[in-house]
Amino acid sequence: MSERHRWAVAALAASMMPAIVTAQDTTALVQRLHQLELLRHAAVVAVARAESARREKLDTVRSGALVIVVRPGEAALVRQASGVAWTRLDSLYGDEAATLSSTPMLFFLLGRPRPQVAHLYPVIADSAATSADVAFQLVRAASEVIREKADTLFSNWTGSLLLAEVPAATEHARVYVELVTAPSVAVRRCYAGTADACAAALGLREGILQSWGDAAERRALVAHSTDYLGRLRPAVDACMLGSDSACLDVLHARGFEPPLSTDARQSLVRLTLVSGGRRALGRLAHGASRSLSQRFALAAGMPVDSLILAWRRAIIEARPKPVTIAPARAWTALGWIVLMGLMAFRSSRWR
Amino acid sequence: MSHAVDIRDLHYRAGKNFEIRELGLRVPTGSLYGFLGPNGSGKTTTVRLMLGLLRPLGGTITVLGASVPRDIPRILARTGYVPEQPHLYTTLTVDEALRFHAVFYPTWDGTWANELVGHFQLDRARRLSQLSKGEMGKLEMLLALAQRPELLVLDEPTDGLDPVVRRDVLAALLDYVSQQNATVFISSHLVHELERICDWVGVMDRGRLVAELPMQSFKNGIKRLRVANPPALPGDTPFVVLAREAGNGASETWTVRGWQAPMSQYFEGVGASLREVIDLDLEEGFVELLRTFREPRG
Amino acid sequence: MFRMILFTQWKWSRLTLLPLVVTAFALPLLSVQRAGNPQTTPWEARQLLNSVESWGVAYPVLATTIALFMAMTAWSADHRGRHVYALSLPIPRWHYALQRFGAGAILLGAAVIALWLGALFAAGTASIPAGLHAYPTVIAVRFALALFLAYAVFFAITAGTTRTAGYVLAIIGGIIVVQVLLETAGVHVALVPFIGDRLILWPGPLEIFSGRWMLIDV
Repeated sequence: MSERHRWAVAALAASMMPAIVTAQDTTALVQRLHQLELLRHAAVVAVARAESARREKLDTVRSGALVIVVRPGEAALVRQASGVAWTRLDSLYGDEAATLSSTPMLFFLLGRPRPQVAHLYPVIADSAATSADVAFQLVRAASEVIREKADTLFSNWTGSLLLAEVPAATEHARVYVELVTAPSVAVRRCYAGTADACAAALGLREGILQSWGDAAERRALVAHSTDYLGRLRPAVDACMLGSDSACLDVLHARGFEPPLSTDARQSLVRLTLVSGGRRALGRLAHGASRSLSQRFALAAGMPVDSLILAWRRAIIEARPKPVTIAPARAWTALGWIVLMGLMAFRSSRWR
Repeated sequence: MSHAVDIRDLHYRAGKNFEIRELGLRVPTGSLYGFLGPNGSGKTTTVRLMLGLLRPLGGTITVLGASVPRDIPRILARTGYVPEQPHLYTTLTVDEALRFHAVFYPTWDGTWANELVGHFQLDRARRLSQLSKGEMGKLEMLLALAQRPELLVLDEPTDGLDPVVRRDVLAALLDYVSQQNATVFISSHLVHELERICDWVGVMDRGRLVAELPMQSFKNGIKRLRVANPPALPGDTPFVVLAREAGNGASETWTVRGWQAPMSQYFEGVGASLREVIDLDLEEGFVELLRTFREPRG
Repeated sequence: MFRMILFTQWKWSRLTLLPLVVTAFALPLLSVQRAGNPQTTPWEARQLLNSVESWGVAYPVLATTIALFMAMTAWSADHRGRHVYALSLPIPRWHYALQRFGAGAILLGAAVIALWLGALFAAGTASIPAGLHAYPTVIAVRFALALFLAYAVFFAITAGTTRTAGYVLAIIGGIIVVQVLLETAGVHVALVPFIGDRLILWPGPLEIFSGRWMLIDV
């Protein structure tokens, strides 16, 4: 605990003295004495920690905009990992990654006490972590920091962390399956090639819940959800009886995610970052009063419809391989069948 | 004389406790060869080696002029086999078993098979698992005979069967033999049965062939002699002394092989006198043979 | 000769084979039951895909079950008689084994055909959303390969002697023992996973079983 804190505790204790002295009730007096004791104990603990922090030496590792405070014994590991992490972060986030310099991180391993340093972003790794593991944790923590720096509109829209580790092909294949199976008129029209529908399905156009699905889908959405406030009950009942306006009321009140998941939205962000260069993320994450559509157009350097159609093209091209049997697989299986059969015919019982 | 089965220097080992060594066996073509031996002597093993069911460690086996195991399919096509334990697929009916068996043998005589079914009073629709031991024995014999084989190998074919069934089975066998010049190889420990039908006998004990000779010679050849004042050492005898047992007073009982009546002069020559010549039946002869084989002389 | 062997194989296996063949026919239909209603909305598409994928594990399990049953049936009667009858028949031994194998394979064909017909029927009657496709023939071919491969493996094992089976089990046990000893000695060698991967990944023998079994997919 710093000197200032010790004086504060002492002052607090002193401020309670008049109350103690003037109290006429024995019970109240006992309670106050107990509180005082607790405060004294906390002060002692804080002092001990301060002393500990003053005694423990820590290193600072810098790599690009990454600033990481670490115990000397772990510095080599972190140094190696931070180089890899920074490369990934810079490659994905561009100039936005430079903002990490204002958010130093504190790295320590599980199983050891946390160094007593305040106001640093914690990064924790397992005691048996390799350099690759530490790099992963650094990227994850940095991504969280960058996400927190983005404005609410963008961060709410992207949902979870925009990690640098996801291979595009894998992500696109997942999104393709979504495009084909998501229960929404907008998604189906998007799959069919309508940019507007894609924008609606991705939630780039706000306030158009109607375009996300048809009446039957809206009713099904309401029916599948169960956590309604009591006041919505009449509207839910009306919706079930066929009132589309009642369904819309429920959906508006409930608040629903766009039909395409955060995976789909993040894949659009990645494409935008590739198209728009190093400043793209900054334009997306800090758009002031601009809508999401405007931000994407500005970040990508192209009309948003063109961006969406390019995104759709990439997704369609990433259609997962259908479940077919490659000739090599089939011939291999046949080969094994023949081999096993020969083993049966050559069994020692028969020779 | 040609041989339907010719085994030379056969060597086989099963585990640590049983071994067939230097086995030589010849079954004359057209004979009824009785293969005698106590339980565990190696009769069934020899039969299996003969038919290629087991692989020997050494020696040669020739059956019907073909080599075992190289020509086994050809040999088995001409051989009817009745194993010690029933070996058919018990989930089949009698009719199905006949049809299954028939397709493997080009010489299959369906007409005769049908006759035998009637003669043995087998229910065609009955499953083999539901047959009695006697019925199964009859069916096994039927299948072997209906193939019209040149060689019949029968391993304890009547073991466990009642006398009536045994008689039926043997009658069918003899009937077949009388029609065809087939060779029959019967392995059994039922000495009385073999005595009646076989014209050759081989005796096996502990993996070795003890004797192999015509049945008549075997039956006639072993005698028990009561000798008074026998010599201390027999010396050079015209017969084979298998055993000597002390009797009452100064007499002994000798068990001999290869006895003929004129040989009584020998005893006069050594100052002994022959009191009695006792004929042994096949079983007694068999027992004496084994006893002398197992116990060293003198 | 082969007809009689086929007859015996049929007689021994028909009571169990028939329900398995029916199961093979029903499996594709069960996997798309969510898509049976012509009024099915695309809301069901994701559930349809999930349903098809969840039923997918039943294909290799069914293939293995049928194959194991048929291989055991092929030899159970001979095992009971200690193979004396088969060995005393006047045909080369490998010829007999080949005919037994072929008889079992023919009967297995019934299961394959049943599954293929079921898959065709399921694909024809299901309401498949746009963007998804049915692969009835692909899944039937894959099922056939898995089925015959499993049959060949089990056939080889059941045709062998007890000693051979003992050797196989000893090898498997030996691998496990070596793995345990290595772990105890602090040597981190993933022997069992390594061998498992060699079996499951191409060109391993079990590769045809692995992966997704999807009658309907993107």
